[in-house]
Amino acid sequence: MKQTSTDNTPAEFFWQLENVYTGACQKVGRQIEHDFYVAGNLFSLKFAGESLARQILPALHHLQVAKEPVQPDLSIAFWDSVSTGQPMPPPPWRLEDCVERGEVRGYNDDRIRTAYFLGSGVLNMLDRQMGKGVFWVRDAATLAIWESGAPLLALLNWWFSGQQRQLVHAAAVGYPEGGILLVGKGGSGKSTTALACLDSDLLYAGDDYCLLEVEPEPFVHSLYNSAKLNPDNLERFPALGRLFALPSARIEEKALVFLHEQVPDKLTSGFPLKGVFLPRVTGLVDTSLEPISSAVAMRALAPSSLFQLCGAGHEGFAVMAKLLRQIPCYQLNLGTDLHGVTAAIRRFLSEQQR
Amino acid sequence: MSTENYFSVSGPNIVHENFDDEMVVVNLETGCYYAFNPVGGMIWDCVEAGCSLEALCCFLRARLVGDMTGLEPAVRDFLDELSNEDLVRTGSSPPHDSEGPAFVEGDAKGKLSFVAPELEKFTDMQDLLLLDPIHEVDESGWPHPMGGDNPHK
Repeated sequence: MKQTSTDNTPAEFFWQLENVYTGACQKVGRQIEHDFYVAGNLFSLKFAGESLARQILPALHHLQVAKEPVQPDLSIAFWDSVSTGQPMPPPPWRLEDCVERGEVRGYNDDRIRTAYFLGSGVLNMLDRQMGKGVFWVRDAATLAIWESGAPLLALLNWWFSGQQRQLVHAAAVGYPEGGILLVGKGGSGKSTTALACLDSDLLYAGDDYCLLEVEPEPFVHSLYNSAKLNPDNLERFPALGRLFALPSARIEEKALVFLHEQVPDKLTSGFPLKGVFLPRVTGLVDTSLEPISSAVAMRALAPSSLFQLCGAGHEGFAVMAKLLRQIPCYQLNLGTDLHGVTAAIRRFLSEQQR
Repeated sequence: MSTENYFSVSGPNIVHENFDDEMVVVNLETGCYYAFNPVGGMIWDCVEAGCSLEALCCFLRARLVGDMTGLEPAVRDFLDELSNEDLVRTGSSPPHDSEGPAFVEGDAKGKLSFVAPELEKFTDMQDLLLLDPIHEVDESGWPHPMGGDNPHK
Protein backbone atom coordinates (compact mmCIF):
# COMPACT_ATOMS: atom_id res chain seq x y z
CA MET A 1 0.00 0.00 0.00
CA LYS A 2 1.48 3.34 -0.96
CA GLN A 3 1.94 6.00 1.66
CA THR A 4 0.26 9.17 0.55
CA SER A 5 1.64 12.64 0.87
CA THR A 6 -1.51 13.84 2.58
CA ASP A 7 -1.68 13.27 6.28
CA ASN A 8 -5.41 12.77 6.73
CA THR A 9 -6.97 12.48 10.13
CA PRO A 10 -9.56 9.67 10.40
CA ALA A 11 -12.40 12.23 10.22
CA GLU A 12 -10.88 13.99 7.22
CA PHE A 13 -10.53 10.72 5.35
CA PHE A 14 -14.14 9.86 6.19
CA TRP A 15 -15.35 13.19 4.79
CA GLN A 16 -13.26 12.61 1.69
CA LEU A 17 -14.98 9.26 1.18
CA GLU A 18 -18.42 10.84 1.54
CA ASN A 19 -17.52 13.05 -1.43
CA VAL A 20 -16.28 10.01 -3.35
CA TYR A 21 -19.66 8.36 -2.74
CA THR A 22 -21.48 11.45 -4.03
CA GLY A 23 -19.29 11.27 -7.13
CA ALA A 24 -20.15 7.57 -7.59
CA CYS A 25 -23.89 8.36 -7.42
CA GLN A 26 -23.48 11.11 -10.00
CA LYS A 27 -21.61 8.75 -12.33
CA VAL A 28 -24.26 6.01 -12.23
CA GLY A 29 -27.10 8.53 -12.19
CA ARG A 30 -29.05 7.01 -9.34
CA GLN A 31 -29.08 6.25 -5.65
CA ILE A 32 -30.98 3.30 -4.20
CA GLU A 33 -32.14 3.75 -0.62
CA HIS A 34 -33.79 1.30 1.77
CA ASP A 35 -34.63 1.50 5.47
CA PHE A 36 -34.27 -1.26 8.04
CA TYR A 37 -35.04 -1.62 11.71
CA VAL A 38 -32.36 -3.52 13.57
CA ALA A 39 -32.97 -3.88 17.31
CA GLY A 40 -35.06 -0.72 17.38
CA ASN A 41 -32.49 1.34 15.47
CA LEU A 42 -33.47 2.79 12.10
CA PHE A 43 -30.76 2.21 9.50
CA SER A 44 -30.80 3.81 6.06
CA LEU A 45 -28.70 1.96 3.48
CA LYS A 46 -27.83 4.01 0.39
CA PHE A 47 -26.28 2.50 -2.73
CA ALA A 48 -24.63 4.10 -5.75
CA GLY A 49 -26.27 1.88 -8.36
CA GLU A 50 -27.53 -1.67 -8.16
CA SER A 51 -24.36 -3.74 -8.12
CA LEU A 52 -23.74 -3.78 -4.37
CA ALA A 53 -27.43 -3.45 -3.50
CA ARG A 54 -28.06 -6.84 -5.12
CA GLN A 55 -25.35 -8.40 -2.96
CA ILE A 56 -26.08 -6.73 0.37
CA LEU A 57 -29.86 -6.35 0.63
CA PRO A 58 -31.11 -9.98 0.49
CA ALA A 59 -29.59 -10.95 3.87
CA LEU A 60 -31.38 -8.02 5.57
CA HIS A 61 -34.66 -8.27 3.66
CA HIS A 62 -36.70 -9.52 6.66
CA LEU A 63 -35.84 -6.35 8.61
CA GLN A 64 -36.75 -3.93 5.82
CA VAL A 65 -39.44 -1.30 6.43
CA ALA A 66 -41.13 1.31 4.27
CA LYS A 67 -39.05 4.45 3.86
CA GLU A 68 -39.36 6.42 7.08
CA PRO A 69 -39.85 10.22 7.01
CA VAL A 70 -37.48 10.60 9.96
CA GLN A 71 -33.77 10.95 10.39
CA PRO A 72 -32.20 7.44 10.59
CA ASP A 73 -30.04 6.52 13.57
CA LEU A 74 -27.37 5.33 11.17
CA SER A 75 -26.99 6.01 7.45
CA ILE A 76 -24.54 3.86 5.47
CA ALA A 77 -23.28 4.62 1.95
CA PHE A 78 -22.30 1.69 -0.33
CA TRP A 79 -20.40 1.79 -3.59
CA ASP A 80 -17.80 -0.02 -5.61
CA SER A 81 -15.32 1.45 -8.05
CA VAL A 82 -15.68 -0.98 -10.96
CA SER A 83 -19.43 -0.69 -11.56
CA THR A 84 -19.61 3.06 -10.84
CA GLY A 85 -16.36 4.04 -12.52
CA GLN A 86 -15.56 6.19 -9.50
CA PRO A 87 -11.90 5.89 -8.48
CA MET A 88 -10.87 5.76 -4.82
CA PRO A 89 -8.27 8.08 -3.33
CA PRO A 90 -5.19 6.17 -2.13
CA PRO A 91 -5.42 4.80 1.40
CA PRO A 92 -3.75 7.21 3.83
CA TRP A 93 -2.27 4.35 5.89
CA ARG A 94 0.43 1.79 5.20
CA LEU A 95 -0.20 -1.88 4.49
CA GLU A 96 1.39 -2.84 7.80
CA ASP A 97 -1.22 -0.71 9.58
CA CYS A 98 -3.89 -3.26 8.53
CA VAL A 99 -3.85 -5.68 11.45
CA GLU A 100 -5.92 -8.53 12.86
CA ARG A 101 -9.71 -8.41 12.56
CA GLY A 102 -9.43 -5.78 9.84
CA GLU A 103 -8.50 -2.98 12.23
CA VAL A 104 -6.48 -0.12 10.73
CA ARG A 105 -3.91 1.22 13.16
CA GLY A 106 -4.08 4.97 13.64
CA TYR A 107 -7.53 5.30 12.07
CA ASN A 108 -9.67 4.40 15.05
CA ASP A 109 -10.54 6.95 17.70
CA ASP A 110 -13.51 7.83 19.88
CA ARG A 111 -15.41 9.15 16.88
CA ILE A 112 -14.19 7.28 13.80
CA ARG A 113 -13.85 3.52 13.38
CA THR A 114 -12.01 2.04 10.40
CA ALA A 115 -11.53 -1.51 9.14
CA TYR A 116 -10.03 -2.80 5.92
CA PHE A 117 -10.39 -6.53 5.36
CA LEU A 118 -7.57 -7.99 3.32
CA GLY A 119 -9.53 -11.22 2.82
CA SER A 120 -12.45 -9.54 1.07
CA GLY A 121 -11.06 -6.12 0.08
CA VAL A 122 -13.92 -4.40 1.91
CA LEU A 123 -13.44 -1.01 3.59
CA ASN A 124 -15.77 -0.01 6.43
CA MET A 125 -15.74 3.30 8.27
CA LEU A 126 -18.12 4.65 10.89
CA ASP A 127 -18.55 8.19 12.17
CA ARG A 128 -20.26 7.48 15.48
CA GLN A 129 -20.89 11.13 16.20
CA MET A 130 -22.71 11.81 12.94
CA GLY A 131 -24.37 8.38 12.65
CA LYS A 132 -22.83 7.75 9.24
CA GLY A 133 -20.96 4.83 7.74
CA VAL A 134 -19.33 3.83 4.47
CA PHE A 135 -18.86 0.47 2.77
CA TRP A 136 -16.59 0.26 -0.25
CA VAL A 137 -15.17 -2.60 -2.27
CA ARG A 138 -13.22 -2.37 -5.50
CA ASP A 139 -15.53 -4.66 -7.50
CA ALA A 140 -19.03 -5.63 -6.33
CA ALA A 141 -19.05 -8.57 -8.73
CA THR A 142 -16.31 -10.29 -6.75
CA LEU A 143 -17.75 -9.63 -3.29
CA ALA A 144 -16.99 -12.61 -1.07
CA ILE A 145 -19.87 -14.98 -0.31
CA TRP A 146 -19.54 -14.34 3.44
CA GLU A 147 -20.00 -10.59 2.90
CA SER A 148 -23.33 -11.30 1.16
CA GLY A 149 -24.43 -13.75 3.84
CA ALA A 150 -23.50 -11.55 6.80
CA PRO A 151 -22.93 -8.01 5.56
CA LEU A 152 -21.92 -5.03 7.74
CA LEU A 153 -20.57 -7.07 10.66
CA ALA A 154 -17.98 -4.48 11.60
CA LEU A 155 -20.32 -1.50 11.19
CA LEU A 156 -23.10 -3.17 13.20
CA ASN A 157 -20.68 -4.25 15.92
CA TRP A 158 -19.22 -0.76 16.27
CA TRP A 159 -22.67 0.81 16.30
CA PHE A 160 -24.23 -1.46 18.89
CA SER A 161 -21.22 -1.79 21.19
CA GLY A 162 -22.06 1.52 22.84
CA GLN A 163 -25.59 0.30 23.63
CA GLN A 164 -24.70 -2.61 25.96
CA ARG A 165 -25.41 -4.92 23.04
CA GLN A 166 -23.01 -7.33 21.39
CA LEU A 167 -22.86 -9.12 18.08
CA VAL A 168 -22.10 -12.78 18.64
CA HIS A 169 -21.11 -15.71 16.50
CA ALA A 170 -24.19 -17.80 17.26
CA ALA A 171 -27.44 -19.13 15.82
CA ALA A 172 -30.84 -18.59 17.41
CA VAL A 173 -34.22 -20.36 17.16
CA GLY A 174 -37.35 -20.14 19.26
CA TYR A 175 -40.83 -18.78 19.77
CA PRO A 176 -41.96 -15.18 20.30
CA GLU A 177 -42.08 -15.85 24.05
CA GLY A 178 -38.65 -17.45 24.25
CA GLY A 179 -35.87 -19.23 22.42
CA ILE A 180 -32.32 -20.51 22.59
CA LEU A 181 -28.91 -19.37 21.45
CA LEU A 182 -26.74 -21.98 19.72
CA VAL A 183 -23.04 -21.34 20.29
CA GLY A 184 -19.80 -22.92 19.17
CA LYS A 185 -17.13 -22.59 16.55
CA GLY A 186 -17.70 -23.18 12.85
CA GLY A 187 -18.65 -26.77 12.06
CA SER A 188 -20.06 -27.47 15.52
CA GLY A 189 -23.61 -27.91 14.21
CA LYS A 190 -25.15 -24.47 14.76
CA SER A 191 -26.37 -24.02 11.20
CA THR A 192 -27.59 -27.59 10.82
CA THR A 193 -29.57 -27.30 14.06
CA ALA A 194 -31.05 -23.92 13.15
CA LEU A 195 -32.04 -25.14 9.68
CA ALA A 196 -33.53 -28.35 11.05
CA CYS A 197 -35.92 -26.18 13.06
CA LEU A 198 -37.47 -24.85 9.84
CA ASP A 199 -39.39 -28.13 9.64
CA SER A 200 -41.00 -27.40 13.02
CA ASP A 201 -43.02 -24.52 14.49
CA LEU A 202 -39.81 -22.90 15.78
CA LEU A 203 -38.83 -19.54 14.29
CA TYR A 204 -35.42 -18.67 12.87
CA ALA A 205 -33.42 -15.63 14.00
CA GLY A 206 -30.08 -16.54 12.43
CA ASP A 207 -27.59 -19.33 11.87
CA ASP A 208 -24.26 -17.55 12.24
CA TYR A 209 -24.42 -14.05 13.75
CA CYS A 210 -26.99 -12.45 16.05
CA LEU A 211 -27.20 -9.42 18.30
CA LEU A 212 -27.40 -9.96 22.07
CA GLU A 213 -28.72 -7.73 24.77
CA VAL A 214 -28.94 -8.53 28.47
CA GLU A 215 -30.97 -5.61 29.87
CA PRO A 216 -33.82 -5.51 30.81
CA GLU A 217 -33.84 -9.23 30.01
CA PRO A 218 -31.70 -11.55 27.89
CA PHE A 219 -32.84 -11.07 24.31
CA VAL A 220 -31.52 -11.98 20.87
CA HIS A 221 -32.13 -9.84 17.79
CA SER A 222 -32.02 -11.28 14.30
CA LEU A 223 -29.57 -9.68 11.86
CA TYR A 224 -29.61 -11.88 8.76
CA ASN A 225 -32.04 -14.26 7.09
CA SER A 226 -29.21 -16.01 5.28
CA ALA A 227 -28.38 -19.64 5.91
CA LYS A 228 -25.14 -21.44 5.25
CA LEU A 229 -24.31 -25.12 5.11
CA ASN A 230 -21.27 -27.11 4.19
CA PRO A 231 -22.03 -28.69 0.80
CA ASP A 232 -21.55 -32.20 2.25
CA ASN A 233 -24.43 -31.52 4.64
CA LEU A 234 -26.73 -31.00 1.64
CA GLU A 235 -26.26 -34.69 0.91
CA ARG A 236 -26.48 -35.79 4.52
CA PHE A 237 -29.73 -33.90 5.10
CA PRO A 238 -31.81 -33.95 1.90
CA ALA A 239 -34.66 -32.17 3.68
CA LEU A 240 -32.38 -29.13 4.05
CA GLY A 241 -31.08 -29.52 0.52
CA ARG A 242 -34.34 -28.29 -1.00
CA LEU A 243 -33.73 -24.86 0.55
CA PHE A 244 -30.54 -24.56 -1.43
CA ALA A 245 -32.12 -25.34 -4.80
CA LEU A 246 -33.17 -21.71 -5.39
CA PRO A 247 -31.61 -19.86 -8.33
CA SER A 248 -30.27 -17.24 -5.90
CA ALA A 249 -28.41 -19.82 -3.82
CA ARG A 250 -24.64 -19.70 -4.04
CA ILE A 251 -22.70 -22.91 -3.63
CA GLU A 252 -19.00 -22.23 -3.07
CA GLU A 253 -16.93 -23.21 -0.05
CA LYS A 254 -20.29 -22.96 1.72
CA ALA A 255 -23.80 -23.13 0.32
CA LEU A 256 -25.66 -19.84 0.93
CA VAL A 257 -29.39 -19.17 0.66
CA PHE A 258 -31.75 -16.38 1.75
CA LEU A 259 -34.70 -17.75 3.68
CA HIS A 260 -36.99 -14.77 3.10
CA GLU A 261 -37.45 -16.08 -0.43
CA GLN A 262 -38.73 -19.50 0.60
CA VAL A 263 -39.88 -19.51 4.22
CA PRO A 264 -40.60 -15.86 5.16
CA ASP A 265 -43.12 -16.91 7.82
CA LYS A 266 -40.35 -18.76 9.67
CA LEU A 267 -38.31 -15.61 10.23
CA THR A 268 -38.44 -13.50 13.36
CA SER A 269 -36.80 -10.26 14.41
CA GLY A 270 -35.94 -11.75 17.80
CA PHE A 271 -37.12 -13.20 21.11
CA PRO A 272 -36.21 -13.43 24.81
CA LEU A 273 -33.50 -15.98 25.52
CA LYS A 274 -34.23 -18.91 27.82
CA GLY A 275 -31.13 -21.04 27.31
CA VAL A 276 -27.76 -21.40 25.63
CA PHE A 277 -27.04 -24.66 23.79
CA LEU A 278 -23.63 -25.88 22.69
CA PRO A 279 -24.20 -28.42 19.87
CA ARG A 280 -21.95 -31.45 19.61
CA VAL A 281 -22.16 -33.97 16.78
CA THR A 282 -22.37 -37.44 18.33
CA GLY A 283 -23.17 -39.81 15.48
CA LEU A 284 -25.89 -41.32 17.68
CA VAL A 285 -29.51 -41.38 16.53
CA ASP A 286 -31.04 -39.69 19.56
CA THR A 287 -30.58 -36.14 20.77
CA SER A 288 -30.00 -35.31 24.43
CA LEU A 289 -29.25 -32.34 26.67
CA GLU A 290 -26.56 -32.18 29.37
CA PRO A 291 -26.11 -29.20 31.69
CA ILE A 292 -22.78 -27.41 31.32
CA SER A 293 -21.21 -24.60 33.32
CA SER A 294 -21.40 -20.96 32.28
CA ALA A 295 -17.63 -21.01 31.84
CA VAL A 296 -17.75 -23.86 29.31
CA ALA A 297 -20.44 -21.99 27.36
CA MET A 298 -18.33 -18.83 27.57
CA ARG A 299 -15.39 -20.64 25.98
CA ALA A 300 -17.68 -21.72 23.14
CA LEU A 301 -19.26 -18.30 22.62
CA ALA A 302 -16.74 -15.60 23.39
CA PRO A 303 -13.51 -16.43 21.55
CA SER A 304 -15.16 -17.18 18.20
CA SER A 305 -17.17 -13.96 18.51
CA LEU A 306 -14.31 -11.74 19.67
CA PHE A 307 -11.76 -13.02 17.15
CA GLN A 308 -14.09 -12.44 14.18
CA LEU A 309 -15.58 -9.08 15.07
CA CYS A 310 -13.62 -5.91 14.54
CA GLY A 311 -13.62 -3.79 17.69
CA ALA A 312 -15.01 -6.44 20.04
CA GLY A 313 -13.28 -6.39 23.43
CA HIS A 314 -13.87 -5.90 27.13
CA GLU A 315 -17.42 -4.57 26.86
CA GLY A 316 -18.60 -7.33 24.57
CA PHE A 317 -16.92 -9.97 26.72
CA ALA A 318 -18.76 -8.62 29.75
CA VAL A 319 -22.13 -8.65 27.92
CA MET A 320 -21.64 -12.30 26.99
CA ALA A 321 -20.62 -13.24 30.54
CA LYS A 322 -23.65 -11.43 31.96
CA LEU A 323 -25.94 -13.40 29.65
CA LEU A 324 -24.39 -16.74 30.57
CA ARG A 325 -24.73 -16.02 34.29
CA GLN A 326 -28.45 -15.36 33.85
CA ILE A 327 -29.70 -18.33 31.82
CA PRO A 328 -29.03 -22.09 31.87
CA CYS A 329 -26.44 -23.60 29.53
CA TYR A 330 -26.51 -27.07 28.01
CA GLN A 331 -24.56 -29.27 25.68
CA LEU A 332 -26.88 -30.36 22.87
CA ASN A 333 -25.79 -33.86 21.89
CA LEU A 334 -26.99 -33.85 18.29
CA GLY A 335 -28.64 -36.98 17.01
CA THR A 336 -28.70 -37.96 13.37
CA ASP A 337 -32.51 -37.82 13.41
CA LEU A 338 -33.15 -34.10 12.85
CA HIS A 339 -36.73 -34.39 14.16
CA GLY A 340 -35.23 -35.48 17.47
CA VAL A 341 -33.11 -32.33 17.53
CA THR A 342 -36.09 -30.02 17.14
CA ALA A 343 -38.11 -32.10 19.60
CA ALA A 344 -35.41 -31.63 22.27
CA ILE A 345 -35.40 -27.86 21.74
CA ARG A 346 -39.20 -27.63 21.78
CA ARG A 347 -39.37 -29.76 24.93
CA PHE A 348 -36.84 -27.52 26.69
CA LEU A 349 -38.69 -24.35 25.72
CA SER A 350 -42.00 -25.85 26.75
CA GLU A 351 -40.57 -26.67 30.20
CA GLN A 352 -39.32 -23.08 30.51
CA GLN A 353 -42.86 -21.79 30.03
CA ARG A 354 -44.23 -23.74 33.00
CA MET B 1 11.42 -14.55 39.94
CA SER B 2 12.22 -12.35 42.94
CA THR B 3 9.80 -11.63 45.72
CA GLU B 4 10.01 -7.86 45.13
CA ASN B 5 8.45 -8.20 41.70
CA TYR B 6 4.94 -6.86 41.20
CA PHE B 7 2.64 -8.45 38.68
CA SER B 8 0.10 -6.92 36.34
CA VAL B 9 -2.00 -7.92 33.33
CA SER B 10 0.19 -7.49 30.26
CA GLY B 11 -2.11 -5.22 28.28
CA PRO B 12 -5.57 -4.15 27.17
CA ASN B 13 -5.83 -7.05 24.72
CA ILE B 14 -6.25 -9.48 27.61
CA VAL B 15 -9.89 -9.85 28.71
CA HIS B 16 -11.21 -12.10 31.44
CA GLU B 17 -14.34 -13.11 33.29
CA ASN B 18 -14.49 -15.05 36.54
CA PHE B 19 -17.14 -17.71 36.85
CA ASP B 20 -17.55 -19.68 40.08
CA ASP B 21 -15.71 -22.74 38.84
CA GLU B 22 -13.41 -21.27 36.22
CA MET B 23 -11.71 -18.10 35.05
CA VAL B 24 -11.88 -17.58 31.28
CA VAL B 25 -9.08 -15.42 29.86
CA VAL B 26 -8.80 -14.40 26.19
CA ASN B 27 -5.81 -12.86 24.44
CA LEU B 28 -7.32 -10.81 21.60
CA GLU B 29 -3.92 -10.36 19.97
CA THR B 30 -2.75 -13.96 19.75
CA GLY B 31 -6.10 -15.76 19.40
CA CYS B 32 -5.32 -17.99 22.38
CA TYR B 33 -7.74 -18.41 25.24
CA TYR B 34 -7.38 -20.05 28.64
CA ALA B 35 -9.30 -21.70 31.45
CA PHE B 36 -7.93 -21.37 34.98
CA ASN B 37 -9.07 -23.47 37.92
CA PRO B 38 -10.45 -21.54 40.93
CA VAL B 39 -7.05 -21.14 42.61
CA GLY B 40 -5.64 -19.95 39.28
CA GLY B 41 -8.54 -17.50 39.13
CA MET B 42 -7.66 -16.16 42.60
CA ILE B 43 -4.08 -15.63 41.47
CA TRP B 44 -5.33 -13.79 38.37
CA ASP B 45 -7.40 -11.49 40.61
CA CYS B 46 -4.20 -10.70 42.52
CA VAL B 47 -2.32 -10.04 39.27
CA GLU B 48 -5.06 -7.69 38.19
CA ALA B 49 -4.73 -5.89 41.51
CA GLY B 50 -0.98 -5.44 40.99
CA CYS B 51 0.22 -7.68 43.84
CA SER B 52 3.73 -8.78 44.65
CA LEU B 53 4.44 -12.49 45.06
CA GLU B 54 4.57 -12.03 48.83
CA ALA B 55 1.20 -10.27 48.96
CA LEU B 56 -0.28 -12.82 46.60
CA CYS B 57 0.80 -15.78 48.73
CA CYS B 58 -0.42 -14.03 51.87
CA PHE B 59 -3.81 -13.49 50.25
CA LEU B 60 -4.07 -17.13 49.18
CA ARG B 61 -3.10 -18.45 52.63
CA ALA B 62 -5.88 -16.37 54.14
CA ARG B 63 -8.43 -17.58 51.62
CA LEU B 64 -7.57 -21.26 51.34
CA VAL B 65 -7.57 -24.20 53.73
CA GLY B 66 -5.59 -27.43 53.84
CA ASP B 67 -1.92 -28.27 53.51
CA MET B 68 -0.23 -25.28 51.92
CA THR B 69 3.42 -26.30 52.18
CA GLY B 70 3.72 -26.30 48.39
CA LEU B 71 1.82 -23.08 47.86
CA GLU B 72 4.64 -20.68 47.06
CA PRO B 73 6.46 -22.90 44.51
CA ALA B 74 3.12 -23.69 42.86
CA VAL B 75 2.28 -20.00 42.62
CA ARG B 76 5.74 -19.23 41.19
CA ASP B 77 5.31 -21.94 38.55
CA PHE B 78 1.87 -20.62 37.64
CA LEU B 79 3.13 -17.04 37.36
CA ASP B 80 5.99 -18.26 35.16
CA GLU B 81 3.43 -19.96 32.94
CA LEU B 82 1.35 -16.77 32.74
CA SER B 83 4.47 -14.82 31.91
CA ASN B 84 5.49 -17.29 29.19
CA GLU B 85 2.05 -16.85 27.66
CA ASP B 86 2.51 -13.06 27.72
CA LEU B 87 -0.53 -12.71 29.94
CA VAL B 88 1.30 -10.96 32.78
CA ARG B 89 4.29 -8.70 33.14
CA THR B 90 6.45 -7.92 36.11
CA GLY B 91 7.77 -4.66 37.43
CA SER B 92 9.83 -3.50 40.36
CA SER B 93 7.08 -1.21 41.66
CA PRO B 94 3.31 -1.58 41.95
CA PRO B 95 1.65 -0.87 38.57
CA HIS B 96 -0.94 1.44 40.10
CA ASP B 97 -2.21 2.63 43.45
CA SER B 98 -3.48 -0.61 44.82
CA GLU B 99 -3.26 -2.41 48.08
CA GLY B 100 -4.08 -5.73 46.47
CA PRO B 101 -7.35 -7.61 46.33
CA ALA B 102 -9.90 -6.98 49.06
CA PHE B 103 -9.08 -9.16 52.02
CA VAL B 104 -12.15 -10.87 53.42
CA GLU B 105 -11.75 -13.14 56.43
CA GLY B 106 -14.31 -15.83 55.75
CA ASP B 107 -15.68 -18.83 57.52
CA ALA B 108 -13.31 -21.78 57.02
CA LYS B 109 -16.27 -23.84 55.81
CA GLY B 110 -16.69 -21.52 52.84
CA LYS B 111 -13.03 -21.56 51.87
CA LEU B 112 -11.51 -23.53 49.03
CA SER B 113 -9.03 -26.30 49.72
CA PHE B 114 -5.61 -25.56 48.31
CA VAL B 115 -4.87 -27.31 45.03
CA ALA B 116 -2.15 -26.31 42.61
CA PRO B 117 -3.27 -23.56 40.22
CA GLU B 118 -3.82 -24.88 36.71
CA LEU B 119 -4.12 -23.33 33.30
CA GLU B 120 -5.60 -24.96 30.20
CA LYS B 121 -4.67 -23.33 26.89
CA PHE B 122 -6.80 -23.39 23.73
CA THR B 123 -5.42 -22.49 20.30
CA ASP B 124 -8.19 -23.84 18.07
CA MET B 125 -9.39 -20.40 16.98
CA GLN B 126 -6.09 -18.74 16.21
CA ASP B 127 -6.67 -19.09 12.48
CA LEU B 128 -9.56 -16.60 12.76
CA LEU B 129 -6.97 -13.89 13.40
CA LEU B 130 -4.60 -14.75 10.57
CA LEU B 131 -4.17 -12.01 8.00
CA ASP B 132 -4.76 -12.97 4.39
CA PRO B 133 -1.37 -12.67 2.68
CA ILE B 134 -2.83 -13.38 -0.76
CA HIS B 135 -3.63 -10.06 -2.37
CA GLU B 136 -2.63 -7.71 -5.13
CA VAL B 137 -2.38 -3.93 -4.86
CA ASP B 138 -4.24 -1.86 -7.45
CA GLU B 139 -2.99 1.32 -9.09
CA SER B 140 -4.41 3.54 -6.33
CA GLY B 141 -2.73 1.53 -3.60
CA TRP B 142 -5.63 -0.62 -2.33
CA PRO B 143 -4.90 -4.31 -1.76
CA HIS B 144 -7.57 -6.62 -3.09
CA PRO B 145 -7.99 -10.35 -2.63
CA MET B 146 -6.90 -12.93 -5.15
CA GLY B 147 -9.05 -15.55 -3.46
CA GLY B 148 -8.36 -16.99 -0.08
CA ASP B 149 -9.85 -18.72 2.89
CA ASN B 150 -13.01 -17.44 4.48
CA PRO B 151 -11.99 -15.72 7.71
CA HIS B 152 -15.54 -16.28 9.03
CA LYS B 153 -15.49 -20.00 9.62
